[in-house]
Amino acid sequence: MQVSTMQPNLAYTNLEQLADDAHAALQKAGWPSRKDEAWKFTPLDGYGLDELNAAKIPDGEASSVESQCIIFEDGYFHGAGKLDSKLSLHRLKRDDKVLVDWLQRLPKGHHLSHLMLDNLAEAILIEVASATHEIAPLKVQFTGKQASQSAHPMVLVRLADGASLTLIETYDASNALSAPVLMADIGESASLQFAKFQDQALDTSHLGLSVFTLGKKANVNGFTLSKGGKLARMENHVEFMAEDADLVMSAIYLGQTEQHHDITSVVQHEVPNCTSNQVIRGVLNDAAHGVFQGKVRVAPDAQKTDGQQMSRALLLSRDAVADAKPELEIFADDVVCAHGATVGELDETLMFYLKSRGIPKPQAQAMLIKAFLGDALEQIEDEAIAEFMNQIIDSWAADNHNALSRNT
Amino acid sequence: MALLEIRDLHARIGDADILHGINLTMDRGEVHAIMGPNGSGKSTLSYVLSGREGYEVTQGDILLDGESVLDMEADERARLGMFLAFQYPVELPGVSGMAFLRAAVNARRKHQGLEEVDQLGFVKMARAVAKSLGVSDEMLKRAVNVGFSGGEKKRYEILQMALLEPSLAVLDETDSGLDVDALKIVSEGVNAQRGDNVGMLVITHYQRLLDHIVPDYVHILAGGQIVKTGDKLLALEVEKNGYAGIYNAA
Repeated sequence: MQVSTMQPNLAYTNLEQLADDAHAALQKAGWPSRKDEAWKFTPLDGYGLDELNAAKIPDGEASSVESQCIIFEDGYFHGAGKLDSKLSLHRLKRDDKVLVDWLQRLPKGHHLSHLMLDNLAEAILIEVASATHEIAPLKVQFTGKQASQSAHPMVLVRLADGASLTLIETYDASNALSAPVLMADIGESASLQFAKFQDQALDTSHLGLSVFTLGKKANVNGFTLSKGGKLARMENHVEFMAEDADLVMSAIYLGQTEQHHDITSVVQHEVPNCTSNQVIRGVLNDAAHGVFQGKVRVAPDAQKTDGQQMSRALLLSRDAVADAKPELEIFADDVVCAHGATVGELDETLMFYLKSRGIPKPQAQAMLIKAFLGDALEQIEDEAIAEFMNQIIDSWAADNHNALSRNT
Repeated sequence: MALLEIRDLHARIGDADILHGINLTMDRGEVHAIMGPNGSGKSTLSYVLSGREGYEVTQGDILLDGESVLDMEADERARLGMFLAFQYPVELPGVSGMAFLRAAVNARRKHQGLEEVDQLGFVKMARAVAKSLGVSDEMLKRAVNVGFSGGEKKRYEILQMALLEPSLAVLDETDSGLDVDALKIVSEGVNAQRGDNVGMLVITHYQRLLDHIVPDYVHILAGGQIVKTGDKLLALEVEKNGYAGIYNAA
């Protein structure tokens, strides 16, 4: 494992210093506003977030949790089922030296890093060893009942060299704010498949930050679906630390009513010969707002990088709004990079073709929505995840029949 | 009762008046050809009949089996038995051909009070019909019209017609973009579906299609009106004298 290259200069020796600095930064800057470049499409001031306090540790522990499943409640570890023999779970308290090392690799000066450092109680570390058998997918469920509080769960994942894991995160907490942080180190020739499904109640907010660090020949295939919440930002940072690693990251957001979905990614190619492919699709109904921000940075040494990024949004209503901010920062000269962003409506010609075959309008619309999202769904390698996501999208399209006919 | 009755039909797109009083009556079992030069209103007529949005009927009526369809959307008309074979069938990337065909067939069956066909039953049904039209299994598996040649797209239209068993089929310039061999295959497919239960309205610019699909009646459309009606010999007259010769005589 490329541990040496992954370790930054460790300036802090304990969490309290980090937490104090983060707290001071939060106090000084407040919640990001429109003036903050990274938050200009998703300003957080005005959501009443500053009135929230972190939830208290819930009583007891979850009982009879299914195997390969970990449960968080109100931001705290709440129990785990039987795990595969190649997985080990550790609870890292605030004073744990290992935890401090991880935390220093959070994005610097980032609001969501500060928010985590200011509220962190403990982190769960999952270590995955290389296995000769197939490890069943690991589910991490984030639930929560303390409705007027915020939840700050933290999950750390370390894949040993040659290890392989499928990780499925589901978010359906009713906490006013969920601000989860996931950090994953993917070792040499290790492979991570992840799926995030954000399906929180419509009066809640979600501010998620995930940080992936890829070792030599590592492989990551990730999918994010943002569907719930009134305000949701799902941010993925990826850093290539050694050569010949590959990333495929796709995301879909589905917005209705006055929902706000933000998919943000930062992909950093620090070394040569790595590939990243990002496919983002969004569908917006009613007065929903969708945002995609994607930065791909290619360092001067990162020759032969292949970095692709394409986002498309489909507006089903005149009141829906989509913003896209693709950014390429390329400092190497021998690279293949491309990005693009489009916003469009359902094609009348295609609708007419389907209707002329007797297919009722709502069904025709659902078929076209599904087809539009196909490019992102096709990126998912794991069949079970793909099937699960397909079902959710089908049912969303079906639920939006009535809403659709309101607009047309 | 007539299958289709078009009464004094006037229609426009935006500010442009295109159809200026079309009258036409056809019965089941009949094949009518509508011929006309570019800009005569042929495609507009096919879209107005099938209920495409953006085409406004300003006067007159369209009756299918005696019932006005003007207030019906395209999908309702289709479920009633109207079918439009497109001049330019559109590609639907990401829409599975089988799912599309089954949705269409089941929408019509549901309207007819028939039981919907399940996936397995439908695959069998579609394959059998496809085989008779020279549509390969491989084409059936693809997304709708994606990667199809011009001829394949037209065959796929006829396949849809065969599966939907319409009472009124409107074929909009089905010959366009087809070479002689493809034209023959498509025409054979259409002819195989002729019968007492279906009326066909064949819209074309050129007479050559009518060598293969022989009409009972030929109407000449010009300036948004039918200026002359005759039998199949009228099509040959167009071939010989051009449209100008016909208007002048009319």
